[in-house]
Amino acid sequence: MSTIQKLGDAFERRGKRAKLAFMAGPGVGWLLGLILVPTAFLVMVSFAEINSSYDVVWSFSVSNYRDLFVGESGLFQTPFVDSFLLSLRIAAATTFLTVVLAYPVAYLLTRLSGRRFKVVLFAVLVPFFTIFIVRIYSWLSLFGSQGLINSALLATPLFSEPVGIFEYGIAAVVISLTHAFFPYMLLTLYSSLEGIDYGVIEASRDLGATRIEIAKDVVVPLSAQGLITGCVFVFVPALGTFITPQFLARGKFTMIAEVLTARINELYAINYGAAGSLFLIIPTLIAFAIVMRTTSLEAMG
Amino acid sequence: MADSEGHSRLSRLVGEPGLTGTVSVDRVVSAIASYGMWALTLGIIVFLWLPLSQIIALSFMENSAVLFPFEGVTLQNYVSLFTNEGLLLAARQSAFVATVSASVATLIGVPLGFAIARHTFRGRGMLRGLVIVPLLMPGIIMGISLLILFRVIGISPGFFGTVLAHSVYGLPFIVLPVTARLAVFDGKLEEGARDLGADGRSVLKDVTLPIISPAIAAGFVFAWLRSFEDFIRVFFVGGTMDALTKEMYGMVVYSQGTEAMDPMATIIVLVVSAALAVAINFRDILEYV
Repeated sequence: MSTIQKLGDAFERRGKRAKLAFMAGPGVGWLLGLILVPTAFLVMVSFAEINSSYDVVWSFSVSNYRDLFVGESGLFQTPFVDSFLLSLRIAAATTFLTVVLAYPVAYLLTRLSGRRFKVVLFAVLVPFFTIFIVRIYSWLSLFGSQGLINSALLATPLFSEPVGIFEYGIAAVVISLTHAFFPYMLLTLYSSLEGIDYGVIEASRDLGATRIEIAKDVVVPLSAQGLITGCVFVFVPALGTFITPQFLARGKFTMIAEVLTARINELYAINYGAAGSLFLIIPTLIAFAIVMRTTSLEAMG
Repeated sequence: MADSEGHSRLSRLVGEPGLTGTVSVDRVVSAIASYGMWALTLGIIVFLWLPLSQIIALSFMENSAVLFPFEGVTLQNYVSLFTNEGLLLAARQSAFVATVSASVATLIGVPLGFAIARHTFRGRGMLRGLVIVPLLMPGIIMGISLLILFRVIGISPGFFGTVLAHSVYGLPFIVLPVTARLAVFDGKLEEGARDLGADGRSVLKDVTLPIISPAIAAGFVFAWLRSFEDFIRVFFVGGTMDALTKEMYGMVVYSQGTEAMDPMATIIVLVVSAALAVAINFRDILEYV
């Protein structure tokens, strides 16, 4: 290869690289500067202290973590631990409910076409696109001792006082979260179920498999990927939800996001908040690992 | 049911004794499963719509807090919405933030999508992963971490910080559909255009962009909606800036009267329904969600 050719190649390579940097640069900068760097700061601040003028004093102490886990009455007897465990349970219950409710609907959607498909799709998607705060707010007047559900029950001769489960509390939070996140599960399940070749199901039926066997041995394994992705996309936001318990727990209990927000807002304890947030980052990282393992990027579009 | 008929035809053909029994049981199970699935689906549609339809009903009632006791029909709630300057201003402000943020996300995200889909470079796999992080990261983490970063580097909370936060939040909604679209569409179309003498720019303008523009448009809508409906990020990095969600939150939590909430919610539901009805009739929108 002649020198001129080599030079030309080098220029072309450099041109390509410049073009690539031009295309990807801003996006990479955004992701680094607004996701990775702040997360790194968060980790650093979780080991730092805040002085009386609310500035970060860089240091290395685990006192923020001690504040999270060691209470006055002993280890793990803190509002943070209580809220974290409760948030985990609420997120798990929400995820379970969305799976149970979304699977049959997603399957039905794959079997529908034309007008019926459009109508069902429209009916399940409108609540999804209605902004989150409105969806949660819409349960506000249904629950509570004077809410619609309890008023309706009290109007019947069967009940003489408000039913506890329809008061503000855990049930109200789980039900409204299920309502809000159901479409995430539905859409991920639908897209993985839709990819199943219906011929496989027909073939197993022809070979004598019962409906239950087909569901257990064919449909569920083939849609496992969508199921896992769906669980991640419900569990993680449910875990970190703030508005939902603010509206529907009415002070009966606090979820983790509320504990962190209150500390930061009232005491400007961003170091405590940072340490606490890391316990939300861990589930996020697990979720991220699961999604990267099970889903190709193209399938997420 | 056609498939289970196929099954019984097959078993008759094979003539396997005893199989007909299982077929009829299977048919019953099949019918139950099918009706059950419809019943469940209708039940879920009722579940999804019950709270929203109740809000719509309440928005026209004198008793705007709860359906019973019924006190009469009125448009007073709409009057209190349209005379609530603070709420309307907040709604406009949120729409403005959403428009700027989604535009920034689009300008940055489309080239990034092209780079990921069309080029091979070191760190590409990692970049693909990084793109979905804003989607998975709980809002409170993004809020707190950006609050700390902005404080350390001296960006005061407000419009600019919110746009930064929302534009990175919206980025996956642009990048993912664009890479997905570029991955499936036939590269031969571009090749053909080049063979017919089109230069790079006109291939991009006349072939590639028209094919991926629906994906970009859908991504823009999602990025916009996510910004518009966000509470927790704007709560941390928005400072004293107005936002619709902050205003609504204040109304509910500090009991500043919710008469204006129901009509606002109703208008949002109606706008969304209309937009979605049009979108569903025009294309296969599931490609983009």
